[in-house]
Amino acid sequence: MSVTITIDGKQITADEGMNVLEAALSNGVYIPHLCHHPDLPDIGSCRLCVVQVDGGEEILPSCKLTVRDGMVITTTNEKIDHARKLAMELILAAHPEDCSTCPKYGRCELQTLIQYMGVSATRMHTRVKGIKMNDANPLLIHDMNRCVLCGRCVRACSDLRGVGVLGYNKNELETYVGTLHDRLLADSDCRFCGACAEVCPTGTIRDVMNYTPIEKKDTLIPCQAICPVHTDVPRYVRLVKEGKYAEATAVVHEKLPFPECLGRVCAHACEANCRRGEVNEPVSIRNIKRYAAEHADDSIWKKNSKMLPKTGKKVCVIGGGPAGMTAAFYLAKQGHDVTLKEAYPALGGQMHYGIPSYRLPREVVEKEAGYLSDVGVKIETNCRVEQPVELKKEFDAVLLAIGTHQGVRLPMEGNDLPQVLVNTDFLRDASMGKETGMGKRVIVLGGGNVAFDCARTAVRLGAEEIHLACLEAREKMLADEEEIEQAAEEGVIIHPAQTFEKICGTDHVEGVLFSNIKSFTFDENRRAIIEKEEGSEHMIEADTVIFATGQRTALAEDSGITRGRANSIATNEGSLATNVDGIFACGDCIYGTQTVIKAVASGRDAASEIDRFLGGDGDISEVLVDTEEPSQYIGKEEGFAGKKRAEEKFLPVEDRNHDMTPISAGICDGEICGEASRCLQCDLRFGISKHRLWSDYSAEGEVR
Amino acid sequence: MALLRNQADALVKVQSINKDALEEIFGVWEPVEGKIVGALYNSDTDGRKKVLLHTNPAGVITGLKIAAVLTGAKEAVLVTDAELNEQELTANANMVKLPLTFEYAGMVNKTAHRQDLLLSLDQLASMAAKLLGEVPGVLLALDEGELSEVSADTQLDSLLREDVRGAVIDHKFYSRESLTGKTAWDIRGKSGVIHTITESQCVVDLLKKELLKLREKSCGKCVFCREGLYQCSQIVEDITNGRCKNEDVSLAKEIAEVMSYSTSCTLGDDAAAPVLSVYENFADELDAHAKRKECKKGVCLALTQIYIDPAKCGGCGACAEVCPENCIESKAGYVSVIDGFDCTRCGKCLETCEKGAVVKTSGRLPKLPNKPTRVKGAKVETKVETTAETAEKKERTGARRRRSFGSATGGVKPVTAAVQAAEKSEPTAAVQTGTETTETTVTRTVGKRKRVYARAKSSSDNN
Repeated sequence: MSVTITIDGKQITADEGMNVLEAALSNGVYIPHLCHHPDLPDIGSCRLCVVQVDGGEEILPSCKLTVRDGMVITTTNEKIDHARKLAMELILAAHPEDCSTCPKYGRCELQTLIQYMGVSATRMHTRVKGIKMNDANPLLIHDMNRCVLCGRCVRACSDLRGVGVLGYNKNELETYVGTLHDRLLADSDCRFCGACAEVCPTGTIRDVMNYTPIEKKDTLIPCQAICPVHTDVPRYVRLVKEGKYAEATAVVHEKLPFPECLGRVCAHACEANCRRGEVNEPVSIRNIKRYAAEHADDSIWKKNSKMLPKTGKKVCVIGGGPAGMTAAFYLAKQGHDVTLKEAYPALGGQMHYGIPSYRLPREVVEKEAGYLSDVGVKIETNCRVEQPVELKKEFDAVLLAIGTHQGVRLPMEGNDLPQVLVNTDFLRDASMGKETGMGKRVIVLGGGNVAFDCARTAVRLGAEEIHLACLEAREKMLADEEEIEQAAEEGVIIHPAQTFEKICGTDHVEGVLFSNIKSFTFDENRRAIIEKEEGSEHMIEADTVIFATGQRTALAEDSGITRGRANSIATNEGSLATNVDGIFACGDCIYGTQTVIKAVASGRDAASEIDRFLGGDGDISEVLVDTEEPSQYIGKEEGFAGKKRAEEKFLPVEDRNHDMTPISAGICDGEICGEASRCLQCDLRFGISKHRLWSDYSAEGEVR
Repeated sequence: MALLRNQADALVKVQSINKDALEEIFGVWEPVEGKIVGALYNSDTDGRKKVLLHTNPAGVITGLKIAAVLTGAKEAVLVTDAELNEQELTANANMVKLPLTFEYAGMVNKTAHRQDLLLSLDQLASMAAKLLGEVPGVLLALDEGELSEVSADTQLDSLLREDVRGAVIDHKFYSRESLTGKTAWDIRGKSGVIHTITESQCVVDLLKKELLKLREKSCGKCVFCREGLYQCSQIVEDITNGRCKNEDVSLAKEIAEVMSYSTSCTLGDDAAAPVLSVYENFADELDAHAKRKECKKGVCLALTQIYIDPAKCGGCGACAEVCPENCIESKAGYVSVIDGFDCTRCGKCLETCEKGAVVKTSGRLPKLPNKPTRVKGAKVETKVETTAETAEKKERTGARRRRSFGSATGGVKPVTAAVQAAEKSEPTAAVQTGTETTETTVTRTVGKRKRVYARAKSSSDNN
């Protein structure tokens, strides 16, 4: 039912039940206001929106007037303007005068009101409230000196969110907004959703991190921002909380093709940056993704998967690792005729031949690699390409995604002895079930994840004594904490801060000579400066040495492709094209050994660029599930801030050592919903209406 | 005393009466979507009527029930910060089948209760009285006196003592004249307390205190009540300190006028009343303070001065001895002077002075000396000095001089006749043998007082 009212002689229509201020604003008529917010119930406390009704003398706040058909509103005359101006003067009298030092400068609604009304508090007795800025809470700062008591934060927390952490307190004669008994936010069951900071018109409640409007989303949703493929983390975590696993998996599939694999091995930069981590512990995002992928069927995402008409262009992708597979997958969906050539028997790249199967079962890799055939990629395994340039005759574009499958053998005495193995070969042989050449007493040289993969694989292959030695000190070791701890549980003896002097033995390995390191830094040329402890040389006996000290791209010198650092493939600035027109490269082979998810991101970039190269628009984005508008009402949860992170369930040590049984069971059924509920839902605040300035309303009634 | 006794009979009667019968007594009421709220007015800073919850729980519950029946509301809430006997009240409520809850708060949150009907406690008791066919009176109290019920047509003027010059009722300042004709009925409902203004009280000082009472109770959520009260409070304080600016006096009125229609609850409604009513009913007193820096009642200490009337002061110095701040300069035979800067206006000197020379005043001061001056019309007796006395005086002066000059000058003995006479212990005349000595007394008139300078000898007496 709509109603017609007149404001300052102008007729506007409004919905029944609206108040006059809402009616005016939605029709492009600006009436100054401060405590009003489109998403919150109105309380009429600021008294800036005052008007007169039907020619009467009474001055009333328009946000408390329900529209009535035929109502005549006057927003400005001498008496109204005087009342409005006085209200503003009174508000400013209690507000600090230092606009220029306030972090909200330029984005402050109070500032725009001062600008619009041309008012200052010079007639009044000004005061500083003298409340100390409260930065004792994570994520949010309360600077109550700047508060104008508009009450938006209180209403946002209780009415919009249903949590109700903030209220009005009074200390002597000064009213301020705070928690019950001035407790910390975490102790008051704050959900840290940021709605209060989002609606605050001044710089009173604000985020700890400062950001410009462009940086806002990346700063406030860091999980999504730092993920190399920018999966919509808050969205799929929310869907898992709601039990909608198929939808959640579809959300993940919008950005990457292998949620199950990544759910097990992803390096989860998102978790490191998770804002929940500021409160207590980060959300276990990777395990949530794994749970969703394992408990969903493929119904939703496959049904909506984009498939463009055939373009007739042919692309050859060399390398069946995550980078190559991703690129092949998206190129095929863009309609191109894709052939994937993989040198080894199975697809997966490092996922199959690098990461051991106790971390990533081969069935999972196989299953997700199967998505490629589903979209029509022609797969040729056991097919090594020696001369990529030759392929240009048959294909319109060639993509090198050959990774770094050649382990580095450090130059040191004894490194060519027969029982000295290299990480890549060792892991590949172990993967394929072939003889690795390992003895009984193994020393792994290196401190990264790959070194630990080698060591723990050695455990499972039956080695009796396994040592692992690396240059870095224990705290600085590059491997994940979890890997190091589990390796230690499995019996690997770890020797941090060692230099490798030489491999002892004349015709077979007898051991390795080490010295202890006093300090270890890199100079500006990235050269290592190592200070050894005098007289600390000692030998650890072994019959096998495995180098796990880096990997290189394996491509012949004469391939015609220009190289970059450490035999990587050079690409043009800002692009993935190599020196040869039509030949592109992506993944580890261009930037060195990194993570699976980074390879996936690189594969997507490659698919996009090659599609453009072949005449497409390069847009590989897709929507696989309808967007849902999440509810702004989240409710109060007692003890929310203290809820602990759900543990990933690992096999006990006794059951782990013997074979390649997968060791992790992820998060169990009973805990998954709780873990997903720990998410702060940092994306929810972006659904709160943005404030509009007086300049957004034009005289013609248009609203920008 | 119908309202203050426990109206148990009303509680019984309301159980057996239906809506139509109630409407005959109370008229038809608008339906209410929410609940019935029983509370004191937000503006009530005295809170005396809380006592009804203890002395007349039955009446309060009866009133709530009547209102519930008339409006169709399903439940009732009591909002108060008093300690309650919940059991008794709930028992009463159960008797009339009225679901009752308790909210412990000093003020009713108008936003939270926007769908409810608010009724004050004495209103509820009055309704119970009306149900019984009684004519309820109005509950009143005078200053700290007991709350009592008086008939509605009682003239307020008759309740006040002779020496009362006005009253503050519900934060409004009434002069004696403005109260004529006002009855108890006119001030029913709110706090019911009449704070009298006596001859020795200063209205501006009371205004300052009233604003402070309101600021203490204010919840601070709406701009005009919170900030308006602060500004008015500061301005009135400046007035009592003699530091107010001219523009501020009219600014306070400007703010109060807009406040009177710009607040959200009854406390806000009353917030403008102190300033506006003082400006209207006690304009002279306010003007004296603001413009002439004068507090006739001597209450606003910053506007009060205590000085010593030189015409009356005898120079006894008793005031200086009792002054706790040591700010009175005095000397025997000299008029004492009070240092107005350090003086705390404690008034001890005023009490001590037997001559009534210490005066407390306000406004402009008479011209006063800034340091002790000789008491006018010296109280020292004018006696004729004998030659022996003069000679003695000389001897003393000479002896002093000899002490200073003595052997250093080679034992020159200024032998004066006076000295010789003194040594011989013979009274001699001022006139000496031998050299003629003329004594000259040099007197000068300094200001209004004659000052006697040293006597100079015109002849040398050296041997």
